[in-house]
Amino acid sequence: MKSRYIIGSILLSTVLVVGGVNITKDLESIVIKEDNKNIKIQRIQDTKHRLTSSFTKTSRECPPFCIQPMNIGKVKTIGEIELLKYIKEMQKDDSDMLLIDARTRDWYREGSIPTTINLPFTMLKKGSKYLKKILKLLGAKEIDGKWNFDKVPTMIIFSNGIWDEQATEEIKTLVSLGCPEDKILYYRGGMQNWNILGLTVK
Amino acid sequence: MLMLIKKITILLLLGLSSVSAKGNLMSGLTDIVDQAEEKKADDKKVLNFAFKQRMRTQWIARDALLVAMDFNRSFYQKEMLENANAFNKNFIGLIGSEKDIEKAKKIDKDFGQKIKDVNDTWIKFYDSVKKLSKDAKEKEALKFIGENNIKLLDDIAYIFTHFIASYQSTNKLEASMAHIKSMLFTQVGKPRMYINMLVKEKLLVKQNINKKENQKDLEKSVKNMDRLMKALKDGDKELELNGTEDRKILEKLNISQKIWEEVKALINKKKLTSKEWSILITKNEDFIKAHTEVVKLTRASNDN
Repeated sequence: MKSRYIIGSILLSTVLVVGGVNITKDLESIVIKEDNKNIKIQRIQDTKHRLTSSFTKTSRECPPFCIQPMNIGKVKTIGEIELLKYIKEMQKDDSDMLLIDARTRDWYREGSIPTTINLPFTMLKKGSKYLKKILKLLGAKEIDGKWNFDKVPTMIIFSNGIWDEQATEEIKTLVSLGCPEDKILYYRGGMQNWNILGLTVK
Repeated sequence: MLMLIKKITILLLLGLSSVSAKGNLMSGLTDIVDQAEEKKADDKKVLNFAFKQRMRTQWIARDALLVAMDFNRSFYQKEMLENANAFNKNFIGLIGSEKDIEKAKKIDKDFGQKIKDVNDTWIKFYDSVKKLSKDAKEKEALKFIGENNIKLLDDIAYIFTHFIASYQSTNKLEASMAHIKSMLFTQVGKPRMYINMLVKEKLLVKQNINKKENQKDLEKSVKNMDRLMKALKDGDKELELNGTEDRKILEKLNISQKIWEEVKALINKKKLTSKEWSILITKNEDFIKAHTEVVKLTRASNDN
Protein backbone atom coordinates (compact mmCIF):
# COMPACT_ATOMS: atom_id res chain seq x y z
CA MET A 1 0.00 0.00 0.00
CA LYS A 2 2.78 2.33 1.08
CA SER A 3 4.86 1.64 -2.06
CA ARG A 4 1.82 2.23 -4.28
CA TYR A 5 1.42 5.63 -2.69
CA ILE A 6 5.11 6.45 -3.26
CA ILE A 7 5.10 5.39 -6.91
CA GLY A 8 1.93 7.41 -7.33
CA SER A 9 3.57 10.52 -5.89
CA ILE A 10 6.62 10.02 -8.11
CA LEU A 11 4.35 9.89 -11.13
CA LEU A 12 2.54 13.04 -10.08
CA SER A 13 5.79 14.90 -9.52
CA THR A 14 7.13 14.37 -13.00
CA VAL A 15 6.09 15.21 -16.52
CA LEU A 16 7.00 12.56 -19.02
CA VAL A 17 8.96 13.71 -22.05
CA VAL A 18 7.76 11.82 -25.10
CA GLY A 19 10.71 10.63 -27.19
CA GLY A 20 13.14 11.44 -24.39
CA VAL A 21 15.44 9.05 -22.55
CA ASN A 22 13.10 8.22 -19.71
CA ILE A 23 13.64 6.08 -16.64
CA THR A 24 10.58 3.98 -17.33
CA LYS A 25 7.79 4.48 -19.83
CA ASP A 26 5.92 6.38 -17.14
CA LEU A 27 8.75 8.16 -15.40
CA GLU A 28 11.09 10.80 -16.76
CA SER A 29 12.92 11.87 -13.60
CA ILE A 30 12.66 12.46 -9.91
CA VAL A 31 13.57 15.65 -8.11
CA ILE A 32 15.14 15.47 -4.69
CA LYS A 33 16.67 17.95 -2.28
CA GLU A 34 20.25 17.63 -1.09
CA ASP A 35 22.18 20.35 0.80
CA ASN A 36 19.25 22.69 0.15
CA LYS A 37 19.58 22.25 -3.59
CA ASN A 38 17.14 20.58 -5.93
CA ILE A 39 18.71 17.71 -7.83
CA LYS A 40 16.97 16.13 -10.77
CA ILE A 41 17.79 12.46 -11.11
CA GLN A 42 17.33 11.48 -14.72
CA ARG A 43 19.13 9.68 -17.52
CA ILE A 44 21.55 11.45 -19.87
CA GLN A 45 19.34 12.70 -22.70
CA ASP A 46 21.92 12.44 -25.49
CA THR A 47 21.17 9.13 -27.25
CA LYS A 48 24.67 9.09 -28.74
CA HIS A 49 26.36 9.34 -25.37
CA ARG A 50 28.98 6.69 -24.58
CA LEU A 51 30.82 6.08 -21.33
CA THR A 52 34.53 6.81 -21.39
CA SER A 53 35.27 6.13 -17.73
CA SER A 54 36.68 2.96 -16.20
CA PHE A 55 33.10 1.62 -16.11
CA THR A 56 33.60 0.59 -19.74
CA LYS A 57 36.10 -2.08 -18.68
CA THR A 58 35.23 -5.73 -19.07
CA SER A 59 38.18 -7.39 -17.35
CA ARG A 60 39.53 -6.60 -13.97
CA GLU A 61 41.80 -8.72 -11.84
CA CYS A 62 39.89 -11.20 -9.71
CA PRO A 63 40.62 -11.26 -6.83
CA PRO A 64 39.91 -8.61 -5.70
CA PHE A 65 37.36 -7.64 -8.35
CA CYS A 66 35.19 -10.76 -8.61
CA ILE A 67 31.59 -11.27 -9.77
CA GLN A 68 29.21 -10.99 -6.84
CA PRO A 69 26.30 -13.32 -6.06
CA MET A 70 22.73 -12.13 -6.57
CA ASN A 71 21.84 -12.65 -2.92
CA ILE A 72 23.84 -12.17 0.25
CA GLY A 73 22.14 -14.43 2.78
CA LYS A 74 18.59 -13.22 3.23
CA VAL A 75 19.38 -9.60 2.43
CA LYS A 76 17.01 -8.32 -0.25
CA THR A 77 18.64 -7.32 -3.53
CA ILE A 78 17.14 -4.35 -5.36
CA GLY A 79 17.41 -2.72 -8.78
CA GLU A 80 17.31 0.88 -9.99
CA ILE A 81 13.52 1.37 -9.96
CA GLU A 82 13.30 0.24 -6.35
CA LEU A 83 16.31 2.36 -5.44
CA LEU A 84 14.78 5.46 -7.01
CA LYS A 85 11.59 4.79 -5.12
CA TYR A 86 13.54 4.61 -1.85
CA ILE A 87 15.56 7.73 -2.69
CA LYS A 88 12.28 9.61 -3.10
CA GLU A 89 10.97 8.10 0.12
CA MET A 90 14.12 9.18 1.94
CA GLN A 91 13.13 12.77 1.24
CA LYS A 92 10.32 12.52 3.73
CA ASP A 93 11.04 13.90 7.18
CA ASP A 94 10.05 10.70 8.92
CA SER A 95 12.06 8.46 6.60
CA ASP A 96 14.08 5.82 8.36
CA MET A 97 16.42 4.90 5.54
CA LEU A 98 20.01 5.55 4.63
CA LEU A 99 21.73 5.12 1.27
CA ILE A 100 25.31 3.99 1.86
CA ASP A 101 28.21 3.93 -0.58
CA ALA A 102 30.52 1.24 0.81
CA ARG A 103 33.47 2.13 -1.40
CA THR A 104 36.72 3.64 -0.19
CA ARG A 105 36.81 7.42 -0.30
CA ASP A 106 38.92 7.70 -3.49
CA TRP A 107 36.24 5.84 -5.48
CA TYR A 108 33.47 7.86 -3.86
CA ARG A 109 35.15 11.13 -4.78
CA GLU A 110 34.85 10.27 -8.47
CA GLY A 111 31.08 10.33 -8.24
CA SER A 112 28.23 8.67 -6.41
CA ILE A 113 24.47 8.49 -6.27
CA PRO A 114 22.75 11.66 -4.96
CA THR A 115 21.78 11.56 -1.24
CA THR A 116 24.43 8.93 -0.53
CA ILE A 117 26.59 8.86 2.54
CA ASN A 118 30.07 7.36 2.16
CA LEU A 119 30.84 4.67 4.71
CA PRO A 120 33.84 2.72 3.40
CA PHE A 121 33.92 -1.00 4.12
CA THR A 122 37.49 -0.50 5.37
CA MET A 123 36.09 1.48 8.31
CA LEU A 124 33.12 -0.72 9.01
CA LYS A 125 35.08 -3.92 9.53
CA LYS A 126 35.87 -5.96 12.59
CA GLY A 127 38.97 -4.60 14.28
CA SER A 128 38.51 -1.10 12.89
CA LYS A 129 39.08 1.59 15.50
CA TYR A 130 36.13 3.49 14.02
CA LEU A 131 33.66 0.61 14.23
CA LYS A 132 32.14 1.42 17.64
CA LYS A 133 31.80 5.12 16.86
CA ILE A 134 30.09 4.39 13.54
CA LEU A 135 27.70 1.84 14.96
CA LYS A 136 26.73 4.19 17.79
CA LEU A 137 26.14 7.02 15.32
CA LEU A 138 23.94 4.72 13.26
CA GLY A 139 21.87 4.16 16.37
CA ALA A 140 23.10 0.74 17.45
CA LYS A 141 23.47 0.02 21.16
CA GLU A 142 26.06 -2.22 22.76
CA ILE A 143 24.55 -4.38 25.45
CA ASP A 144 26.77 -6.94 27.18
CA GLY A 145 29.21 -7.00 24.28
CA LYS A 146 26.45 -7.53 21.71
CA TRP A 147 25.04 -4.94 19.33
CA ASN A 148 21.38 -4.14 19.14
CA PHE A 149 20.32 -2.67 15.79
CA ASP A 150 16.65 -1.90 16.62
CA LYS A 151 17.10 1.85 16.22
CA VAL A 152 19.36 1.69 13.18
CA PRO A 153 17.72 2.93 9.96
CA THR A 154 17.25 0.58 7.04
CA MET A 155 20.47 0.70 5.04
CA ILE A 156 20.64 0.45 1.26
CA ILE A 157 24.21 -0.53 0.51
CA PHE A 158 26.06 -0.46 -2.80
CA SER A 159 29.55 -0.20 -4.25
CA ASN A 160 30.89 -0.36 -7.82
CA GLY A 161 28.51 -3.07 -8.89
CA ILE A 162 28.42 -6.67 -9.98
CA TRP A 163 32.21 -7.03 -10.05
CA ASP A 164 32.92 -5.35 -6.74
CA GLU A 165 32.99 -6.96 -3.32
CA GLN A 166 33.11 -3.79 -1.22
CA ALA A 167 29.34 -3.67 -0.58
CA THR A 168 29.18 -7.44 -0.03
CA GLU A 169 31.96 -7.15 2.54
CA GLU A 170 30.19 -4.34 4.39
CA ILE A 171 26.88 -6.21 4.42
CA LYS A 172 28.54 -9.37 5.71
CA THR A 173 30.23 -7.39 8.49
CA LEU A 174 26.96 -5.78 9.58
CA VAL A 175 25.15 -9.11 9.60
CA SER A 176 27.97 -10.77 11.54
CA LEU A 177 27.70 -8.00 14.13
CA GLY A 178 24.07 -8.83 14.64
CA CYS A 179 22.30 -6.52 12.21
CA PRO A 180 19.03 -8.15 11.10
CA GLU A 181 19.13 -8.96 7.38
CA ASP A 182 15.82 -7.16 6.83
CA LYS A 183 17.47 -3.90 7.93
CA ILE A 184 19.68 -4.05 4.85
CA LEU A 185 18.99 -3.75 1.11
CA TYR A 186 21.66 -4.58 -1.45
CA TYR A 187 21.81 -2.52 -4.65
CA ARG A 188 23.94 -5.02 -6.56
CA GLY A 189 24.12 -3.04 -9.80
CA GLY A 190 25.99 -0.27 -7.98
CA MET A 191 27.82 2.53 -9.77
CA GLN A 192 28.41 0.33 -12.83
CA ASN A 193 24.69 0.01 -13.60
CA TRP A 194 23.92 3.55 -12.43
CA ASN A 195 26.50 4.89 -14.90
CA ILE A 196 25.60 2.59 -17.76
CA LEU A 197 22.00 3.83 -17.50
CA GLY A 198 23.24 7.41 -17.62
CA LEU A 199 21.61 8.27 -14.32
CA THR A 200 22.60 11.49 -12.52
CA VAL A 201 25.83 11.24 -10.54
CA LYS A 202 26.75 13.71 -7.81
CA MET B 1 -9.43 23.76 17.61
CA LEU B 2 -6.84 24.06 20.36
CA MET B 3 -6.36 20.30 20.27
CA LEU B 4 -5.78 20.40 16.52
CA ILE B 5 -3.13 23.15 16.80
CA LYS B 6 -1.42 21.16 19.59
CA LYS B 7 -1.44 18.03 17.42
CA ILE B 8 0.03 19.90 14.42
CA THR B 9 2.71 21.47 16.63
CA ILE B 10 3.74 18.06 17.99
CA LEU B 11 3.86 16.63 14.47
CA LEU B 12 5.96 19.55 13.26
CA LEU B 13 8.36 19.19 16.19
CA LEU B 14 8.65 15.46 15.60
CA GLY B 15 9.35 16.14 11.96
CA LEU B 16 12.00 18.72 12.75
CA SER B 17 13.72 16.53 15.31
CA SER B 18 13.87 13.60 12.89
CA VAL B 19 15.34 15.89 10.23
CA SER B 20 17.99 17.16 12.63
CA ALA B 21 18.71 13.62 13.91
CA LYS B 22 19.30 12.48 10.35
CA GLY B 23 21.41 15.57 9.69
CA ASN B 24 23.48 14.82 12.78
CA LEU B 25 23.91 11.22 11.72
CA MET B 26 25.02 12.21 8.21
CA SER B 27 27.46 14.88 9.40
CA GLY B 28 28.77 12.63 12.20
CA LEU B 29 29.52 9.82 9.75
CA THR B 30 31.11 12.24 7.29
CA ASP B 31 33.35 13.62 10.07
CA ILE B 32 34.59 10.15 11.03
CA VAL B 33 35.34 9.23 7.41
CA ASP B 34 37.13 12.57 6.90
CA GLN B 35 39.17 11.96 10.03
CA ALA B 36 40.20 8.52 8.78
CA GLU B 37 41.06 10.02 5.40
CA GLU B 38 43.41 12.54 7.02
CA LYS B 39 45.26 9.70 8.71
CA LYS B 40 45.44 7.84 5.39
CA ALA B 41 46.78 10.98 3.71
CA ASP B 42 49.60 11.02 6.27
CA ASP B 43 50.46 7.39 5.43
CA LYS B 44 50.46 8.32 1.73
CA LYS B 45 52.87 11.17 2.47
CA VAL B 46 55.30 8.70 4.08
CA LEU B 47 55.10 6.50 0.99
CA ASN B 48 55.57 9.47 -1.29
CA PHE B 49 58.72 10.40 0.63
CA ALA B 50 60.02 6.89 0.10
CA PHE B 51 59.38 7.11 -3.67
CA LYS B 52 61.26 10.38 -3.84
CA GLN B 53 64.16 8.99 -1.81
CA ARG B 54 64.66 6.32 -4.47
CA MET B 55 64.90 8.97 -7.19
CA ARG B 56 67.21 11.16 -5.09
CA THR B 57 69.91 8.47 -4.68
CA GLN B 58 70.42 8.53 -8.44
CA TRP B 59 70.02 12.28 -8.71
CA ILE B 60 72.79 12.85 -6.14
CA ALA B 61 75.09 10.36 -7.91
CA ARG B 62 74.42 12.01 -11.27
CA ASP B 63 75.16 15.46 -9.87
CA ALA B 64 78.35 14.18 -8.22
CA LEU B 65 79.60 13.04 -11.63
CA LEU B 66 78.66 16.36 -13.23
CA VAL B 67 80.58 18.15 -10.49
CA ALA B 68 83.60 15.89 -11.06
CA MET B 69 83.59 16.62 -14.81
CA ASP B 70 83.30 20.35 -14.05
CA PHE B 71 79.94 20.67 -15.79
CA ASN B 72 78.24 23.81 -14.44
CA ARG B 73 80.06 22.88 -11.25
CA SER B 74 78.76 25.30 -8.62
CA PHE B 75 75.14 24.79 -9.73
CA TYR B 76 75.35 21.00 -9.41
CA GLN B 77 77.31 21.20 -6.14
CA LYS B 78 74.42 23.21 -4.74
CA GLU B 79 71.74 20.94 -6.23
CA MET B 80 73.51 17.80 -5.01
CA LEU B 81 73.70 19.15 -1.45
CA GLU B 82 70.05 20.26 -1.54
CA ASN B 83 68.98 16.78 -2.62
CA ALA B 84 71.14 15.18 0.08
CA ASN B 85 69.66 17.50 2.72
CA ALA B 86 66.15 16.60 1.59
CA PHE B 87 67.08 12.91 1.59
CA ASN B 88 68.49 13.24 5.11
CA LYS B 89 65.42 15.02 6.45
CA ASN B 90 63.02 12.45 5.01
CA PHE B 91 65.26 9.53 5.95
CA ILE B 92 65.29 10.59 9.59
CA GLY B 93 61.50 10.92 9.45
CA LEU B 94 61.15 7.55 7.74
CA ILE B 95 63.24 5.58 10.22
CA GLY B 96 62.32 7.70 13.24
CA SER B 97 58.97 6.06 13.97
CA GLU B 98 59.50 3.35 16.61
CA LYS B 99 55.91 2.22 16.08
CA ASP B 100 56.42 1.64 12.35
CA ILE B 101 59.73 -0.13 12.92
CA GLU B 102 58.16 -2.45 15.48
CA LYS B 103 55.42 -3.26 12.96
CA ALA B 104 57.99 -3.99 10.23
CA LYS B 105 60.00 -6.19 12.61
CA LYS B 106 57.06 -8.57 12.66
CA ILE B 107 57.72 -9.24 8.97
CA ASP B 108 61.51 -9.44 9.26
CA LYS B 109 63.12 -9.76 12.69
CA ASP B 110 66.39 -8.34 11.31
CA PHE B 111 64.66 -5.15 10.23
CA GLY B 112 66.00 -3.12 13.18
CA GLN B 113 69.60 -4.13 12.42
CA LYS B 114 69.07 -3.42 8.72
CA ILE B 115 67.90 0.11 9.56
CA LYS B 116 71.09 0.67 11.57
CA ASP B 117 73.26 -0.59 8.68
CA VAL B 118 71.47 1.64 6.17
CA ASN B 119 71.83 4.57 8.52
CA ASP B 120 75.61 3.94 8.79
CA THR B 121 75.93 3.89 4.99
CA TRP B 122 73.82 7.02 4.69
CA ILE B 123 75.91 8.97 7.24
CA LYS B 124 79.08 8.24 5.20
CA PHE B 125 77.27 8.96 1.94
CA TYR B 126 75.94 12.27 3.24
CA ASP B 127 79.38 13.18 4.52
CA SER B 128 80.87 12.48 1.07
CA VAL B 129 78.24 14.70 -0.57
CA LYS B 130 79.09 17.52 1.84
CA LYS B 131 82.81 17.17 1.05
CA LEU B 132 82.22 17.11 -2.71
CA SER B 133 79.93 20.10 -2.53
CA LYS B 134 82.81 22.08 -1.04
CA ASP B 135 85.65 20.64 -3.09
CA ALA B 136 85.07 19.14 -6.55
CA LYS B 137 88.44 17.37 -6.37
CA GLU B 138 87.47 15.16 -3.40
CA LYS B 139 88.19 11.89 -5.19
CA GLU B 140 87.51 9.62 -2.19
CA ALA B 141 84.10 11.22 -1.68
CA LEU B 142 83.24 10.76 -5.35
CA LYS B 143 84.40 7.15 -5.21
CA PHE B 144 82.21 6.45 -2.15
CA ILE B 145 79.15 7.96 -3.82
CA GLY B 146 79.88 6.03 -7.02
CA GLU B 147 80.28 2.73 -5.19
CA ASN B 148 77.35 3.09 -2.80
CA ASN B 149 74.50 4.85 -4.62
CA ILE B 150 73.01 1.61 -5.95
CA LYS B 151 73.35 -0.04 -2.54
CA LEU B 152 71.54 2.93 -1.01
CA LEU B 153 68.82 2.66 -3.66
CA ASP B 154 68.33 -1.05 -2.87
CA ASP B 155 68.34 -0.37 0.87
CA ILE B 156 65.66 2.28 0.52
CA ALA B 157 63.58 -0.14 -1.58
CA TYR B 158 63.99 -2.76 1.17
CA ILE B 159 62.85 -0.38 3.94
CA PHE B 160 60.03 0.87 1.79
CA THR B 161 58.75 -2.62 0.90
CA HIS B 162 58.72 -3.60 4.57
CA PHE B 163 56.86 -0.48 5.60
CA ILE B 164 54.23 -1.12 2.92
CA ALA B 165 53.89 -4.75 4.01
CA SER B 166 53.51 -3.68 7.64
CA TYR B 167 50.66 -1.35 6.72
CA GLN B 168 48.84 -4.22 5.02
CA SER B 169 45.36 -4.91 6.30
CA THR B 170 44.33 -8.29 7.68
CA ASN B 171 41.14 -7.94 5.67
CA LYS B 172 41.70 -9.97 2.47
CA LEU B 173 39.72 -7.70 0.14
CA GLU B 174 41.38 -4.55 1.48
CA ALA B 175 44.86 -6.10 1.31
CA SER B 176 44.28 -7.30 -2.23
CA MET B 177 43.00 -3.89 -3.40
CA ALA B 178 45.91 -2.16 -1.64
CA HIS B 179 48.42 -4.51 -3.30
CA ILE B 180 47.23 -3.56 -6.79
CA LYS B 181 47.54 0.12 -5.89
CA SER B 182 50.93 -0.14 -4.23
CA MET B 183 52.32 -2.02 -7.26
CA LEU B 184 50.96 0.71 -9.53
CA PHE B 185 52.29 3.54 -7.35
CA THR B 186 55.69 1.86 -7.00
CA GLN B 187 56.04 1.38 -10.74
CA VAL B 188 54.56 4.66 -11.91
CA GLY B 189 57.22 6.71 -10.12
CA LYS B 190 60.13 4.50 -11.18
CA PRO B 191 60.86 6.20 -14.53
CA ARG B 192 61.95 9.31 -12.58
CA MET B 193 64.56 7.18 -10.83
CA TYR B 194 65.54 5.41 -14.07
CA ILE B 195 66.12 8.64 -15.97
CA ASN B 196 68.61 9.82 -13.35
CA MET B 197 70.23 6.40 -13.32
CA LEU B 198 70.55 6.38 -17.11
CA VAL B 199 72.24 9.76 -17.26
CA LYS B 200 74.48 8.76 -14.36
CA GLU B 201 75.53 5.58 -16.22
CA LYS B 202 76.16 7.56 -19.39
CA LEU B 203 78.41 9.90 -17.37
CA LEU B 204 80.28 6.93 -15.87
CA VAL B 205 80.92 5.56 -19.36
CA LYS B 206 82.11 8.96 -20.57
CA GLN B 207 84.53 9.22 -17.65
CA ASN B 208 85.86 5.70 -18.30
CA ILE B 209 84.80 4.46 -14.87
CA ASN B 210 84.23 0.69 -15.19
CA LYS B 211 83.38 1.48 -18.80
CA LYS B 212 82.43 -2.01 -19.97
CA GLU B 213 80.28 -2.78 -16.97
CA ASN B 214 78.55 0.58 -16.98
CA GLN B 215 77.87 0.40 -20.71
CA LYS B 216 76.15 -2.91 -20.08
CA ASP B 217 74.13 -1.42 -17.22
CA LEU B 218 73.22 1.52 -19.41
CA GLU B 219 71.86 -0.73 -22.15
CA LYS B 220 69.90 -2.70 -19.55
CA SER B 221 68.46 0.49 -18.06
CA VAL B 222 67.32 1.67 -21.52
CA LYS B 223 65.48 -1.65 -21.98
CA ASN B 224 63.95 -1.43 -18.49
CA MET B 225 62.80 2.12 -19.10
CA ASP B 226 61.31 1.24 -22.51
CA ARG B 227 59.45 -1.69 -21.02
CA LEU B 228 58.16 0.28 -18.03
CA MET B 229 56.93 3.23 -20.13
CA LYS B 230 55.05 0.81 -22.40
CA ALA B 231 53.70 -1.10 -19.40
CA LEU B 232 52.29 2.04 -17.82
CA LYS B 233 50.21 2.50 -20.97
CA ASP B 234 49.42 -1.03 -22.12
CA GLY B 235 50.00 -3.13 -19.02
CA ASP B 236 52.53 -5.87 -18.25
CA LYS B 237 51.57 -8.99 -16.34
CA GLU B 238 55.05 -9.60 -14.93
CA LEU B 239 55.33 -6.04 -13.66
CA GLU B 240 51.78 -6.39 -12.26
CA LEU B 241 50.60 -3.38 -14.23
CA ASN B 242 47.21 -3.19 -15.94
CA GLY B 243 47.91 -0.17 -18.10
CA THR B 244 45.57 2.78 -18.26
CA GLU B 245 42.67 4.04 -20.32
CA ASP B 246 42.41 7.32 -18.47
CA ARG B 247 42.64 9.99 -21.16
CA LYS B 248 44.29 12.59 -18.93
CA ILE B 249 46.94 10.14 -17.73
CA LEU B 250 47.55 8.98 -21.30
CA GLU B 251 48.03 12.58 -22.44
CA LYS B 252 50.63 13.19 -19.73
CA LEU B 253 52.27 9.84 -20.41
CA ASN B 254 52.63 10.79 -24.06
CA ILE B 255 54.46 13.95 -23.04
CA SER B 256 56.95 12.08 -20.85
CA GLN B 257 57.28 9.37 -23.54
CA LYS B 258 58.21 12.03 -26.10
CA ILE B 259 60.91 13.43 -23.82
CA TRP B 260 62.15 9.91 -23.09
CA GLU B 261 62.54 9.26 -26.85
CA GLU B 262 64.68 12.40 -27.12
CA VAL B 263 66.77 11.36 -24.12
CA LYS B 264 67.15 7.85 -25.52
CA ALA B 265 68.41 9.17 -28.85
CA LEU B 266 71.16 11.05 -27.00
CA ILE B 267 71.94 8.15 -24.67
CA ASN B 268 72.36 5.84 -27.66
CA LYS B 269 74.83 8.19 -29.37
CA LYS B 270 78.41 7.04 -28.85
CA LYS B 271 79.90 10.49 -28.34
CA LEU B 272 78.14 13.63 -27.26
CA THR B 273 79.26 17.19 -27.86
CA SER B 274 79.18 19.52 -24.85
CA LYS B 275 76.03 21.13 -26.30
CA GLU B 276 74.40 17.69 -26.50
CA TRP B 277 75.40 17.00 -22.90
CA SER B 278 73.64 20.21 -21.89
CA ILE B 279 70.53 19.14 -23.81
CA LEU B 280 70.65 15.70 -22.19
CA ILE B 281 70.82 17.15 -18.68
CA THR B 282 68.00 19.60 -19.42
CA LYS B 283 65.84 16.83 -20.92
CA ASN B 284 66.56 14.69 -17.86
CA GLU B 285 65.06 17.40 -15.68
CA ASP B 286 62.19 18.05 -18.11
CA PHE B 287 61.33 14.38 -17.93
CA ILE B 288 61.15 14.41 -14.14
CA LYS B 289 58.82 17.40 -14.18
CA ALA B 290 56.61 15.90 -16.89
CA HIS B 291 56.48 12.48 -15.31
CA THR B 292 55.62 13.93 -11.90
CA GLU B 293 52.32 14.96 -13.52
CA VAL B 294 51.72 11.32 -14.48
CA VAL B 295 52.47 10.25 -10.90
CA LYS B 296 50.09 12.86 -9.45
CA LEU B 297 47.23 11.96 -11.79
CA THR B 298 47.72 8.23 -11.25
CA ARG B 299 47.64 8.64 -7.49
CA ALA B 300 44.41 10.60 -7.76
CA SER B 301 42.77 8.18 -10.16
CA ASN B 302 40.98 4.89 -9.71
CA ASP B 303 41.49 3.50 -13.17
CA ASN B 304 41.72 -0.07 -11.90
